[in-house]
Amino acid sequence: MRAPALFLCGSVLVSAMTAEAKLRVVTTTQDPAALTRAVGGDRVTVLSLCKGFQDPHFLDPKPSYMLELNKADLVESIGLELEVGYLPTLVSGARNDEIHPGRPGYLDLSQFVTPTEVAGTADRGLGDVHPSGNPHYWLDPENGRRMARGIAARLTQLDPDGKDSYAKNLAAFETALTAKEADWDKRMAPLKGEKIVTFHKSWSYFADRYHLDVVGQVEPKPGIPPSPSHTLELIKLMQAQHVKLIALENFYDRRVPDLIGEKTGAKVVFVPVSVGGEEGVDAYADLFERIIKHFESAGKL
Amino acid sequence: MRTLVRCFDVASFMRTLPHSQALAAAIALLAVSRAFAQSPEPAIDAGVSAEDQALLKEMEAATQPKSPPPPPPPSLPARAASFFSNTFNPALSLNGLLLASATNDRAPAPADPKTGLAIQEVELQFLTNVDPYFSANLLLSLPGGRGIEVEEGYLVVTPQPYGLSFRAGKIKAPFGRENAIHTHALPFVDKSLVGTAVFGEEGLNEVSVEGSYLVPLPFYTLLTVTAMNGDNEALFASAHGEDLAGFGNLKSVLDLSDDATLEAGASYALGKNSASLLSQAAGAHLVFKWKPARAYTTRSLVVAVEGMLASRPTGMDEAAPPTPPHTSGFYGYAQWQLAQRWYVTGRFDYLRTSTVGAPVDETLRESAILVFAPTEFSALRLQASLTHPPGGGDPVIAGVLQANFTLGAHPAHAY
Repeated sequence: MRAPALFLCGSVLVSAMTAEAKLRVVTTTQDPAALTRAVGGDRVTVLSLCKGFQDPHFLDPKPSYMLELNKADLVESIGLELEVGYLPTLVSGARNDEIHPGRPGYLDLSQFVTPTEVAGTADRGLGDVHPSGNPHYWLDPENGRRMARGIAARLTQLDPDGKDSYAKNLAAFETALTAKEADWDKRMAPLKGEKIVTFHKSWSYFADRYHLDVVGQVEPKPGIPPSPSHTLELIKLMQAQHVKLIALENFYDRRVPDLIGEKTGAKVVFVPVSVGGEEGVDAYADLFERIIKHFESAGKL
Repeated sequence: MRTLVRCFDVASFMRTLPHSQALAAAIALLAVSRAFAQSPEPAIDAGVSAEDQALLKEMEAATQPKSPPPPPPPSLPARAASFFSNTFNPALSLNGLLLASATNDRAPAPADPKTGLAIQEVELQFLTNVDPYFSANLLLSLPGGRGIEVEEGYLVVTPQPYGLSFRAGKIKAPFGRENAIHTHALPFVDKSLVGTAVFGEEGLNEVSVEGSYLVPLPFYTLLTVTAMNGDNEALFASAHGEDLAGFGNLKSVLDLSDDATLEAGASYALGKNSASLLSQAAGAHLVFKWKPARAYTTRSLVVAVEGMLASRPTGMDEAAPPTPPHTSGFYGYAQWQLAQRWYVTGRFDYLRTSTVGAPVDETLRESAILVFAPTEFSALRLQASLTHPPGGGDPVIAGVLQANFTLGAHPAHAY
């Protein structure tokens, strides 16, 4: 009778110790979280603060997030001031010296990509601009590859015993991504040079990658809700340039884009721009699969 | 050569000036002329002969590099142009509060709105790491746009071992919900009646040493203990400099769901007053917040209630300020977000003051505020309030329009 009980206790203890041995990673958004799961495998536990269906510019620094950061071994941010409204408050309130910028426990993923739209001046008269560059860089799969490599290197630094595992997972991720990239390139080829309008400047990297021509935004300036005068100008611009697609991040109000679509005949593509943005978008590749599927269906109409 | 020609041309004019003016003018002219001399394409004076012009061009060509130097690699920082650099300057920000008020109160208290236009406050903030061991936060306030005072200014110890954190300096004590909030971030244009009555207009804001501990519980719980200098005139202000005051706060925040939180806190402060008797203040607060994850920027609800109780025995002290010995009260408000940039809030205030041998005074106030916040850096706030003074006098009606703006790198506010 005692032996099974001891065995059970031992199993629970070993299980608990294994759980303890995992690296605890907290990411600001679900895209690096998906990449970290792909690379870290069963050696990591990952939590994302912002959900994929939320605007990543805005998140309240809830104290419960501080508790998560207090226990974290690694914090991954998108950087380029995307999280400036909440991450500094959370990190300073977490009482965890290992996750402060400059420490191995803090990883700003923007260091692995080449930002676009770097502003010469920081002027809030231009709206919610990011002077260091557009932070929506995960919407180019090549940048996802670079982010995954950076994550693998940092996981290896924090957990040298997992080096082989991380390298193997990274190689598998890259192989699968390369195969999918070829498929996505082929499927997006018919839209090459297509003029589109977006709600926010979230689509710059995606548009560059797939040679879409972004001619305007529904927002008059980044972060500023659409005004009637700007909407009218945009309708005229779209009519003049025969724009047939409006790409809309699925956390924005779609009433104005729908109105523009109605007036111009353009199709509104209401899509997730992050992992977790829709049901079934759980992995990094799922995100592109879903976005491209939306674009394909819009292109057929 | 061109520089010398220009200097000779003005020499006679300079002799007509007084000595000091001539010296200043000479320095200015020299500076300007040198600046022109360094322009990339200097014009050659028309008075110089063609032969000299050719020689000058030849000399200029000989002094130019044969090919432009290669640009520095983009990854390297630009070389400093002088010994002075702003690279390590702190994050700077400024908050401005402008008021347009109207009231039927002919003798408003200092904290109450007065009919007319006014600068309510300008606040400057400097925030940076001092070195690897300390960070510093300095907030200078210009109340009314006049004078300057240190609203807060403290050092924070950067290492936070075992969930501990330490601050020292002038600190707004986290007594309850309202006290630590800066004026521009208050939910209303003014503070609550009870908060102002217990701690005065400036609140409990003292030179202090503070330690806080993140209690290892499944939900967020922060314990704060503070030793203060005891300068608060409404509550402490002991005549003896060695009399310190103390403060403690326990605050918990519980996630009720992904969309809702509940905050509960209790605070207590004590210290000797000008009569060398023990003053005490206790408070408790509850805050419920709801913000649906799928409508995060367009819908939210905040419901808060805070109560305080304070005693300030004066004994036979004739020099004591006219603060009633017993003060208590509460306020409660509910804020509803109508749309992405619109908020409406209603508040009820109750204040009770009593002095031995005198009737109890009760003050009630109802307030409502409509906020239009185009971005997180500006807001227009229209507030109306109806105050019922003690003794059943005529109610005081006040309307205030506040313009609230922020410049620079202002840090995010606490939850």
